[in-house]
Amino acid sequence: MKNVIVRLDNVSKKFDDKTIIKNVSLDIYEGEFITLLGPSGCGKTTILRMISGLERVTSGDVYIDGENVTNVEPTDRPVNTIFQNFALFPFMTVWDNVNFGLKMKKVPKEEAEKRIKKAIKLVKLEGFEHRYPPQLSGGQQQRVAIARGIVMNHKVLLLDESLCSLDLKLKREMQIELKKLQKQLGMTFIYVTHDQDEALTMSDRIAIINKGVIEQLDSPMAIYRHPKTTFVADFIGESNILNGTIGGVVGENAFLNILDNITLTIKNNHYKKDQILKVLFRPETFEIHNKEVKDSIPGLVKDYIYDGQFSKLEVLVGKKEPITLKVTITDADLCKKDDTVFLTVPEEKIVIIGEEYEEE
Amino acid sequence: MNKNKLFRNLFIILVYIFLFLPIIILILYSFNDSKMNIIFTHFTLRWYQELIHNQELLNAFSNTLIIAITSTAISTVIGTISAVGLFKYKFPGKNLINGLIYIPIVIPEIVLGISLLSVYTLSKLELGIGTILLSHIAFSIPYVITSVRSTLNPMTSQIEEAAYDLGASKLKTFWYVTLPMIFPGVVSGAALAFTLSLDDVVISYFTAGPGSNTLPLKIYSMIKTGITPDVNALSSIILLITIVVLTVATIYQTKTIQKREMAK
Repeated sequence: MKNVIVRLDNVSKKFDDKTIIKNVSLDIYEGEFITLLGPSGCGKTTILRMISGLERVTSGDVYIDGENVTNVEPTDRPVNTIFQNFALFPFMTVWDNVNFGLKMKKVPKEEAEKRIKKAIKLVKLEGFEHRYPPQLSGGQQQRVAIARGIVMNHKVLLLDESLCSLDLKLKREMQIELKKLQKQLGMTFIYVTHDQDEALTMSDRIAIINKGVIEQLDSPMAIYRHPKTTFVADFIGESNILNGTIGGVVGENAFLNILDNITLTIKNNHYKKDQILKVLFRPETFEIHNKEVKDSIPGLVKDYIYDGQFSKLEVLVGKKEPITLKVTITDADLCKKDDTVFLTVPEEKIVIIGEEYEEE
Repeated sequence: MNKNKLFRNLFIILVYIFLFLPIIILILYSFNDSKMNIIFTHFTLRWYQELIHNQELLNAFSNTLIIAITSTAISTVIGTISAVGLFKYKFPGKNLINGLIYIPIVIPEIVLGISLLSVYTLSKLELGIGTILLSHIAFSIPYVITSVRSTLNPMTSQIEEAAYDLGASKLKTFWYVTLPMIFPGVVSGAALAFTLSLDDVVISYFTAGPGSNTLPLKIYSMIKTGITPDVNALSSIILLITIVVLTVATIYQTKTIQKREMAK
């Protein structure tokens, strides 16, 4: 059984009269890298701040390491935050920045020195101890902020959009380093971001947050392959979401009607006739044909963008209510703009949103 | 092109002559061996020696210094705390209070002087050094607040949060984190308060009592009987003090700004 390190129990937060967080419950396990992912204004940072104590909950309880810390000041909570703009003390050297928390906790000087040296080594900032933050680059400042957090030896580190202000290349590097560091230290990282790539590459689990509630909490793969809601399907990756109806059920198979009069055969999963479903097609799951084949969707190539490795197409389908589908193919020679094409999707890659699935 | 340049330089020179000639003359005449401020005869330190024995003038000077130092200290503390409080906390009427801070700055000194005098008379306070001090504290606070406020920004609050997060209490955060960050504003606020107090005539005139002369008041009253050259000597000394205080403040500020600018 995994050990719960942070628990949010039915937590709500109101600012003035606006409810920002609605009855969120969340268990975070020791040693995992969990990401709170959502669009800006969804409340993800507020959740993080409620864990650090910088924001008080309106109702509900917060537990850290088994202890109810709902009414504990941020000063006394055993977690540390890496802020979005790093929030380093500009008038202190790197060494003094990292030392600050230890000084406040009155850690003996000898032990403090050892811990600071270790932290600075971990984030590869040796030789920069006597510089001031404004003399450092964005990536180095980021490292100082991380060292300042991990030197406290707490079990949980909160990261608030910490890589946002870095340029793309540096961001990629830091993503890998952060993940390594987290494994090496065995700490729990709670990471807040609006960047889905970041979330997918770094996390053990992702909590998708929308309008103050958790829409789905799952592994990155499960979230991509089996989104529980249309919001999740739409937010993670590129998606085509169509309405479908079950036309009939025959034994193992069910017939799914989409668009005007196209019927796809899918595996029966306790469907009933006339049941309405949301169907997700990922752009890369389409196969493209020049002639009509079984269970294919005819369409017109409206736009064709060659992107080296992939070609991105916009295909207009449906007669009564035309819809543009996003299609990604690897073979650039299959079609061109204004061609009529036929799209198929392998049965196992058709995703019914919200459907229960078995762990892969 | 050349004509333009000539005109530009001439203009600058004239402005600087207009600004600094009176001061230079004052310094020169403090070393002038003649009772009249008209002709320069010989170099002498006589007036500086005489100044040491002019008890009345020295008394006024020490009053002025005591008032300036005390009012600067008190108004800097109150002003800094007010600025931080006004920045940090939300409360009803905050905007009104923020706006009202500028009133003592823009209000004519004479109005402020009269109103302070009437307050003191109504509350039966005995006029003297105490009332001058109170008045100086009152008119200095808005300057300190404005100066400190210019160093506070959203980043300040984030850095304070980082300090709480690392286990610093509110008091320790203020001492170790907030104060060092706003220190340039505190220093320039204090320097402003000090110089304003040092040469204030109007408000001191209204709120002074018998026997509580400050230097500016004393000199002002001497106009009727004629200003003696030892006043020139004293003025030169005050000028020196002011320049030293402001230079230190400016050097400190530019150093901090440079440190911060290096980030870009």
